[in-house]
Amino acid sequence: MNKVLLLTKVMLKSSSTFNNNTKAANRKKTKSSATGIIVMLLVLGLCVCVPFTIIMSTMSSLLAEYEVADSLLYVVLPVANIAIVVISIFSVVSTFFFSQDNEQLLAMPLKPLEILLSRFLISLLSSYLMVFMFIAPIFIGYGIGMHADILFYLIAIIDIIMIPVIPLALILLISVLVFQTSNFIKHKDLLTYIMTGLILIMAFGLNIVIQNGMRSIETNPDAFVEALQALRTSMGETLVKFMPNAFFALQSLVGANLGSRLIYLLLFVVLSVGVLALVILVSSPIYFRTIRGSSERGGKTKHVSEANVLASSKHRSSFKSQVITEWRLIIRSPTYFMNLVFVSFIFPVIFFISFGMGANNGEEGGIMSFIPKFQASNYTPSNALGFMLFFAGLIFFASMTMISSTAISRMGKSASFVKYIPSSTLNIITAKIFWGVACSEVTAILTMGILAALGIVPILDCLVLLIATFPVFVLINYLAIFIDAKRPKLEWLNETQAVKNNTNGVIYMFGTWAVAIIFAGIGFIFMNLNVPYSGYIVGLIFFIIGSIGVYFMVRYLKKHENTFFDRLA
Amino acid sequence: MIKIENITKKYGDKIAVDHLSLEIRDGEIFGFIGPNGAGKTTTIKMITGITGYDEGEITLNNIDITKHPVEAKKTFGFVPDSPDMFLRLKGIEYLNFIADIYEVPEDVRPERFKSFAEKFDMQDHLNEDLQSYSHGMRQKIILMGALIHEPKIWILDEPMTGLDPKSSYALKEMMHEHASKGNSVFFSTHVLEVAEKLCDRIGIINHGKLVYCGTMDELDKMFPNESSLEKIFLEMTSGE
Repeated sequence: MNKVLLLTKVMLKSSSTFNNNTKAANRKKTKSSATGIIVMLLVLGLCVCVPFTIIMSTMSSLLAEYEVADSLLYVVLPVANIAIVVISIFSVVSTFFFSQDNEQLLAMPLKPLEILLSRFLISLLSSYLMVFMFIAPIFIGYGIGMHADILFYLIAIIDIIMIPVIPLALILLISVLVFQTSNFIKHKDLLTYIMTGLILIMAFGLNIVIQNGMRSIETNPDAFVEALQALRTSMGETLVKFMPNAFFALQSLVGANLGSRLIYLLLFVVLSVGVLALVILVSSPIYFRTIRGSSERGGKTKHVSEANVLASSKHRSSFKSQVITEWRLIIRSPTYFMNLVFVSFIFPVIFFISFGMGANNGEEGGIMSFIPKFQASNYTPSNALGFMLFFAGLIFFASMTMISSTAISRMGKSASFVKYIPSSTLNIITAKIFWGVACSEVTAILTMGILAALGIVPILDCLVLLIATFPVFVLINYLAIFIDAKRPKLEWLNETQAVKNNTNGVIYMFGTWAVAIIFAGIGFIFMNLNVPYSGYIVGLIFFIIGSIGVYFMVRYLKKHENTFFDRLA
Repeated sequence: MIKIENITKKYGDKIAVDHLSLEIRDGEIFGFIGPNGAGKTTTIKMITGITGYDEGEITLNNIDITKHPVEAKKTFGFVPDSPDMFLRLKGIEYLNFIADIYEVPEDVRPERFKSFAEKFDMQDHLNEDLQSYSHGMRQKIILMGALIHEPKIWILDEPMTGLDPKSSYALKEMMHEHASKGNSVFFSTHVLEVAEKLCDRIGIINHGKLVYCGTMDELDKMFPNESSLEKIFLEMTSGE
């Protein structure tokens, strides 16, 4: 057991989400900045959790009048189990099978059981971030709404700790069996594409289910209550059969009396631990066989002909070459491509489909009846208010692109390369943010293009928005790489960790929202401007402010040529 | 020529390099040796501009690395201690990328690629991803990249690590040839035999201080009773 804890400690240190700098010289500084980041993330987390808790508390109180409050938990617990599988599948597979330290561990006198348990603990700890953010507020909100006693909260804590165990164990079991019976582990790239596809399909499915549920509340509350009552009965039966863990957890919270609640809690804990023990026992004998040779690659020799050399020897400028190389490094890694590029394009698409479905069902006459109402409102981009809303929307989509906020971290241990090549810091940084800006711009064009094609927003308005947002995209991408250069996460065991366990992406996202709020604040000054096309005036102002911001950023980079990459030494 | 004048590098309270002065002359192969943590890599990082320094001055062919970093960096080719970089690129793409950065003219590239590939036995591997390379092959491609712009100064951090005997021999020959044309080679190594046979002069660093700088002959005269560099090295770097 000592070895398990020791391994877990070492793995946590080498892959910690908050461990964004590793140089001894910076360790002291990093500790304080890591504490700052944790505090900031906690504050931001609370900003999400507190409203969520209040909503859940209000909903529980309302539903309690119809005696169906516990139906919320009937829905939440199975959804939570599925969501944990969806969100954790990537990191669990990466942690267990694609970690760079697998080969070192294989050569050590360690039992598979010890490695499996420590890897499991790492996955479990990672999953708690999501559990605390999304499931804890539901339990707390329900407890407040139902005036629950202290025992409810104590049981809820144990439930929260145990909830991710079975979903994570099942991911481990399935992946071990798949890798044992197939050659998939040697086709890591293909596997990453398949997994991301599956995650997107599952996430999309979940989104549709939630949308449908929300619409039922909005359109017909009575029918919704009836539906909840029916759902509770049917869900109870389904859970007993297919997700007994969720059923036990549920009953431990809403059971008829204290005795039965404690028995269900005990059953839940025993079942979780039992499943985990079984999965570990089944996986232990085959785990080493699956990871052995996981880093091997195809040994095809592709001879490069003289013609090939000539064709590929085309001279490009240093900047252009850096831009092209950056793109190659992103698109050739499925992890980077799916998490950095694809996600930013798919997000508006999912948004529009959800929006379209909502408008179709919620409005009489479907989405087409919505268009004239919208055009007659103050929300069109030619009005200051509308412009600010669209502008904020585009900035929000742009905040999903983590290309620039992880650009330095993705270089890993070779990051010092940028310090010894004869290229200016401005050139290097601009080449690195190029695709971040491009992706934000393409997402914006895609979004406005769909709106223009549907006839919702006139083409001229779309153009004004695209022009106004451009310098702001450049500015926020400069800010993104600034964040990453100042606290890079250079130590990672796999590419997933470089982007997904990198808090710089989250800081950038919130930072971008802050920028959007600042711009909106500036826009509010002009909101009551009683002139036609006030939106265009706001657009021009945003363009000018964004351009000034870029100008100062460029000046800063020129001025700090020698010190900008100090953290990469 | 590399000129290091009185440089000091501190990490907090710890002095990593202590008032080090060194000159690597034109036409010279200079070996930099020292125990682990003595300050070799830190010195190399300061020369290449990767790390700043607290005191002193470093010039490469009379260009100050701090005042004119881009110009100074054009004068040298550098092989870092780890060759694990740009692993998603193919060998040929990596070489072209580096050639673009160092502004190598298009017409000379094929010949240089071919010549290096033959010397390091890499002809059949240029079309493969760097991530499929062994450690030694990665070391070779990084070496080829570092030398592709024919820099006057070579700065190599443990360049022999992972190289097979043929490539190691080829690199040593290339170092000789480069120095004989009036250029400088500065490299760090733990293989004392290589330093002994290859270098015109060696520098021994210990606890951040240069404890010796000179030719092998001068060193032999200083320690007439010691039979090998290994023994001299151990004596010079043993705990004070």
